[in-house]
Amino acid sequence: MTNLDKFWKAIMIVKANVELTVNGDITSQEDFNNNIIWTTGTTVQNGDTATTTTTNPHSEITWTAVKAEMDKL
Amino acid sequence: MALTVVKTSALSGTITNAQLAGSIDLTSKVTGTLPTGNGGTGATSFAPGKVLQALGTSDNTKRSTSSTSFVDITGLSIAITPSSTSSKIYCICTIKGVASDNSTTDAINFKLVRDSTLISEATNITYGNNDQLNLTYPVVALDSPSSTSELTYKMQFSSRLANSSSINNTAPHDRSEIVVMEIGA
Repeated sequence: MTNLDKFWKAIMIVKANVELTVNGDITSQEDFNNNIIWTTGTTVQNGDTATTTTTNPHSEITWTAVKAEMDKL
Repeated sequence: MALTVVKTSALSGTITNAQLAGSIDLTSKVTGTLPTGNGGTGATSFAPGKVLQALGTSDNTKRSTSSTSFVDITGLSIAITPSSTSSKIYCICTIKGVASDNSTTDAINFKLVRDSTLISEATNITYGNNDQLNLTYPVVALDSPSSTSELTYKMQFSSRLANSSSINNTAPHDRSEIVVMEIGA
């Protein structure tokens, strides 16, 4: 299992069905801050285009919490 | 008084430089078709090429999403400014290393859009497979934007069931490309 596979499993454990896009890998707090685009909703444009933010809108999802779950895998 | 003799009969055989005595008026003094055997095309008229410009870019960063609504794929976006409103834009995108989560019901979806206009859509790719298949997925479209403004063609992706779906998954399936060509009318 790759590091990114672990990240995806871990973040779904921390919060199921959370919607995000990852560019590259997540191996550090810096990656967690910079390489993730969070989906916060859907626009009516073409029916299903995401509204996104680079600021983490989920207070329960932290790098510390995700890393702890990754280390268990 | 000096007298000038002008030869008025048609030239035949090999024409010498002396006989040319200047330049040939191509607008009215040349007729006929140059045969292919003499290096010509055999054509009686000239049709210029139709590809007016071609642009492309590629990306080899792994991109993954659990978003169930479409998000832009960073790196698979390209801007082109058509030279005429009658031009068409031929867009080719090859997406490498396409994979979705290990579930037979999960899948990845793609869209090609011009700015905010949908050009092409494909849904539920990889549906029914629970292996990381690393598919190569082609998207080809001929668009008629009727514009001379800068246009941005970009790929978007989404996940069917909010699990991770990826492109550029693993080497050598890790470099996707997008190419746009302006085709003259």
